[in-house]
Amino acid sequence: MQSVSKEYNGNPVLKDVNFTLKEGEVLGLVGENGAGKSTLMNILFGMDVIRQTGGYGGRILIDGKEVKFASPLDALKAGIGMVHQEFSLLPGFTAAENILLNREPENKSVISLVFGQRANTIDRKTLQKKAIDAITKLGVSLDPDMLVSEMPVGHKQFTEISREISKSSIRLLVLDEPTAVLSEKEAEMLLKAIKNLSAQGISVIFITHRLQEILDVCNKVIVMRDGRIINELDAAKTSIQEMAKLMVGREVASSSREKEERKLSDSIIMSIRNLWVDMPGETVKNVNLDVHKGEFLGIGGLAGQGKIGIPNGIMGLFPSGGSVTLNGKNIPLGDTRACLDSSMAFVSEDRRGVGLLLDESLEWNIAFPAMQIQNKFLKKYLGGLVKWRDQGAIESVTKKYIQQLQIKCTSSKQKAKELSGGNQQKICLAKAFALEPKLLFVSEPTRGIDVGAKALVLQALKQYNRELGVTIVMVSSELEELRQCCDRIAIVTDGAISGILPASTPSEEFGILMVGKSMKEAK
Amino acid sequence: MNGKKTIKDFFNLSFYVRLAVILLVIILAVFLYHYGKQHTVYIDNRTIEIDGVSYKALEWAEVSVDGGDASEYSPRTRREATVQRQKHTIHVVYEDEDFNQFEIETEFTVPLNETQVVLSLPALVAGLDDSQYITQFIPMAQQLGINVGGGAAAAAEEIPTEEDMFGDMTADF
Amino acid sequence: MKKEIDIKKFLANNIVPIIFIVLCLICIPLAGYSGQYLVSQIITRIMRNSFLVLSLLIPIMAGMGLNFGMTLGAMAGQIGIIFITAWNVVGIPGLLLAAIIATPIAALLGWFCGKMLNMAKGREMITSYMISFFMNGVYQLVVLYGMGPVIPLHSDQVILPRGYGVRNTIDLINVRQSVDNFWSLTIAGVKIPLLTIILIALLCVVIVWFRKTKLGQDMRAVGQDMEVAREAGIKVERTRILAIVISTIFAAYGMILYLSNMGTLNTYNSHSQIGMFSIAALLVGGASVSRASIKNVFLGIILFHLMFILAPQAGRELMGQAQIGEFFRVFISYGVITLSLVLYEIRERREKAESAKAIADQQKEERA
Repeated sequence: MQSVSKEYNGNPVLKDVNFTLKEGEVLGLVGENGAGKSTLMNILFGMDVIRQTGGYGGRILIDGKEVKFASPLDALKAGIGMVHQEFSLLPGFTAAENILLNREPENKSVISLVFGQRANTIDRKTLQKKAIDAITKLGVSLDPDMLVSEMPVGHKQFTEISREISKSSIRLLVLDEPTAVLSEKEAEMLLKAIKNLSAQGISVIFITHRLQEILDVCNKVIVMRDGRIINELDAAKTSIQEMAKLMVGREVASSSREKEERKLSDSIIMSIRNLWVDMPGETVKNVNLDVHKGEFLGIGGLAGQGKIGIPNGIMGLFPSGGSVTLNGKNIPLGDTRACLDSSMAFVSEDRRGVGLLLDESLEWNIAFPAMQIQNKFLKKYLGGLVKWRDQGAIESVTKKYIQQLQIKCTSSKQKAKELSGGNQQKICLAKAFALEPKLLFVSEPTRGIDVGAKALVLQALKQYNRELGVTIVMVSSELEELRQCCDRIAIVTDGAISGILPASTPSEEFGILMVGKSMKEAK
Repeated sequence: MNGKKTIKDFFNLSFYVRLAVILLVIILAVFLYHYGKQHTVYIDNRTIEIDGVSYKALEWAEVSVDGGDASEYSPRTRREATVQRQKHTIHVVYEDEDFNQFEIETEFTVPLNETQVVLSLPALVAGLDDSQYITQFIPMAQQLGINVGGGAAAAAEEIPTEEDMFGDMTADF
Repeated sequence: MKKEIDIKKFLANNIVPIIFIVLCLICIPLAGYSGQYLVSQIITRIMRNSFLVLSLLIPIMAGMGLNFGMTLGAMAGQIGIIFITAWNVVGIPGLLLAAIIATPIAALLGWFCGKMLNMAKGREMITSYMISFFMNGVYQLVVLYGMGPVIPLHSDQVILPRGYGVRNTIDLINVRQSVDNFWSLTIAGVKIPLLTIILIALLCVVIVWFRKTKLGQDMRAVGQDMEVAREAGIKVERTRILAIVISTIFAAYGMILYLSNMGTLNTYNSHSQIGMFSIAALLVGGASVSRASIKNVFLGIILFHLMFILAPQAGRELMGQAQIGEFFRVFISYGVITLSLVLYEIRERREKAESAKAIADQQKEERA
C-alpha cells in the first residue's frame, strides 16, 4: 500500500481530509464523538450510507491507483477489512465456524451438480486448519472449538479480527474501538496482536479513545475534530495531554461564559451505589454517585461508555442492579412506577419511542403522565368514584408551558408528530415539568435539534433548576453544553465514574478523564 | 461472484445434469403409470355380436391370466381378474359342443386409460384381434338407461360440509 | 449445590416430556392394555408419523420456528394420492408416482409460503399458520370444484356422483400398507415393517447429512442472526425460502406415507389435523421453537401417541365414558403447543437476565 489519501469537500461532516498510510504502518485515529471518524471509515469501506447520502468528494488511492468502492464487498476484495464496535458473530457457532463464516471449505460431491453448490458438505478438517492459521497469524491464544456464546469479550474480539485476517487478500485492517470492551489484560494481548500484524506487513487503522494505547502501538496519530484533521503527530514524540488537548479543542479562552460558582447544598438527595445496567451498547458496570439537593449535575463521557445507561437503568427501562436511595429511602430498581411515584421524572433520549405519544395532541402528551401518576387534572365526583378529566386545567397548563418554552405550534390540540425535533424535545420537557418532580433526569436533551432550539432547551432547564430548586441530572455527549449549565460534571468511562469535576474546570481535564486516565496517571 | 450470469454460465454442466435428472424423473413417472396402473379385466363368456357376426358362448372353458390360478367358465359366466401393466398373456382351455378340447395361449393389451374392460372369450377363441374382443366396461344400469345410484341417491351422497373442511380434532390419527 | 442446580435446570428444560411421561405412567395401568398391543400400536404410529414430524426440523434449524405451513405439503401429498387413486395406479409404484406428482406442487407451495414468511420476519409461526388456513381454502376450491371439469379425473372411486368434486372419504385400498407389507418381520406378535423403517432411517441420515452441508451451515447461521449472516454474504432470504421448500416437500412425502398406512383419505380435513398433531408431537418430545433434534422427534411420537392410545380407554375405565378421554387428548395437544410457546419466551428472558447478571458479576470480580 503506497498511499491512501482522501479529500472531502462541500459536506460539513468532513472537510478536506488528507492522510497517507504506508505498508505495515499502524495509524491511530482519535477524536471526540462526531469528529468524523466513523464517516471517514465508512467512505473508506464503501458503505451504503455514503452513496445514499450523495457520495463523497475527493479521491482514495491504493497503490497509487484511484479506487471507488461501490459496496463493502468491493472494499473487502481490495483487501480492506473492518472490525466494528459491535460484534457481528453468531453465538451458537464455534470460533472456527465464525472465522470462516460463508467461506467454509467444501467437499465436492456429485449431489451438488443437481442441488447446487450449497449441497456440498463442509470440510471440517480444513476449516479447523484455516481457522488455526488465522489465529496463529494474529498471535493470540484462542480455542477454535469454543462457542462464541461461552467466550469472554476479549476472545470474541479476537475471533472477529481473525475473521478479517483469514481473508487471504487482507492488507488494511480498520479497528473501531477494539479495546473499549476489553479488560486491561485482554487489551494488552490485542495490542501485541496488532504489532504482530504490522510486522507481517498488514497496515492497521486503530480508532480508540484510550490514548495510552495509541502511544503503545501506533507509528502515527491523527487527531480529528469537527470533520478536520487537526494534527498529524508522530506517536513516539507526543503525549497524552497533547492529544487530549487537541481532541477536545475549543481553546478555553474562546468561550466567555459567566462563571457562577454556587454553593452546593450539603444534603444528598440521591445516592447510587454499585449500579449495573444491561443496556445494549451502553453497559453500566459499577457506578457510585451522590447527587446533592438542588444541584445541576452533568454526566458526560464518550458514546458507548455507559452514561446513557445510568438514567435508563435507574428508571427501570433496562435490567439493572445495585442500590439507589432517594432522600434516604431505598428505590426498587426496575420498577418505573415506583420511581415516578417517588417524584423522579425522566426525559428520555429516545423521544419518539419512549417520550411521546406521537398521534396524540400536545395537551394530552403533557398532561397524561401527571394525570396517570399523580391524579392531577382530575375532577372527582361521587366521592372519588368517578373521575373526570379537567379539560380546563389541562389546557391552561399546556398553554403555560407552550409559552414558557416557546413551543412552535398551531394550537395546543396539534398532534405531537407534526412538530419539529426541537419542539418535540420541548414537549418532553414540559411533560416532565408537569409532573413537578423533585429530581429530574434529562438524557441527551439536545440530540438532533438545531442550535437555536438547543439554547432554549438548556435555558429552560437551567431556569427550572435555579428558580424552582429542582435537582436535575443531565446526560449529554456534548461537554460544552454541560459546562454551560451544570454545577458539577461527572465523566463516565468504561461503565464507571472516572471523576467528578466542577464545571469551571478546563476542558482538557475532562478530555483526559474521558479517555480513561485519572489525573494522576496523566501527569 | 456477483457478476451477471452469462448464457454460458447458465448452460454449464450442472444445468445439463439437472435437466437429465428431471427428464429421468418424468420418464420414471411415465413408467410407473404404465407399470403400476391396475386394470380390472372382466372375462366374459357369453354370446356376443361383433360387427354383425355372432359368437356363441363356450360350453366350458378354463382360463388363467399371466400364469395365475385357472378358473372354470360355463356359459354366461363373468369373472374378474385384476392386473397391472398393459400386456398380458391369457391361457384358455375350452371345449366345443362336441367335447373337443382346444388350447389357446395369446397375448392381449389393455388400453392404457381404461381401468375396467370386458374381455369376451368367444371372440378371443374365434381369433379376433384384441382391439375387438376387449371392450370398454359399461355398467349394466347405464347400458339399460336406468339411473341406479344417481338421482335421489346422488343427492344424498355426502357433499363435504363446513365441519369436514375445518376438521374436528377428535378423529383418529 | 451445583448438582442440585443441574437437576433443577434439567427439570425446567424438559418439563413437557416429563409431564407426559408421568401422565402415561398413570394411564397405562388404568387403561389395562397388554404390552404387546401397546408396542405394536406405537410401532405403527412411529411408522405413520415420523416422516411428517421429521419434516419440521429444517425450518427450526433456520430459525423460522415451527412450520405450521407443513399443512401445505400435506395438501400436495393428498393431491398426489387423489391422482393415483383416480388413475388406479396401485402399490408401491402408485405411491412413488404420487410422490413425483406431489413434489412440484409442494415446492411451489413452499416457495410461496417462504416468500410470505420473508415478509413477516419474526412472526413466522402465526403467519405460516394463517397461510395454511388461506391455502386450505384454495385447496378446497381445487378439490371440490376443480377436479372433474378443469382437471380431468373420471373415477367413481374419487369423484362425487354429481360429476365434479372429490368424495369426502377416499378408500385407498389399492395402496394401503403396500410399503409396510412389502418387507416385514413379525417378532413376538408385533409386525415390524422393514422397508418403512429403512425409509425413515434414510430420512434421518439425510437430515444429519444436510446439517453438514454448506446450505445446512448457512441455515444455522441465518437461524442465529440474520444480520450477521447477511454481512458475511449469505443470501438470507433465499436460504429461508429453501428451508421452507425442503420442509414442505418432506411433509408431502410424509403425508403420502401416512395416508398409505392409514388406508383412507379424509379429503377435506386430513391435512389440517396433521400439522397440529405433528407439531404437538415434536414439542412433547422436548423440542422448542428454536431447538429440535431427531431424538425429540421419536421421543415425542412415542409419548404423544401413547397418550392418544391410552387416554380414551383410561377415560372409559375412570369415568365410564371414552368421550372424556377423547376430549382430554385433544385439549392436551393444544395445551402442549401453548405451553411450549410460553415456556420458550420465559426461558429466553430468563437466559438474557442471567447473562446480564453474569457479566456484571464478572466485572465486579475484575474490579475487586
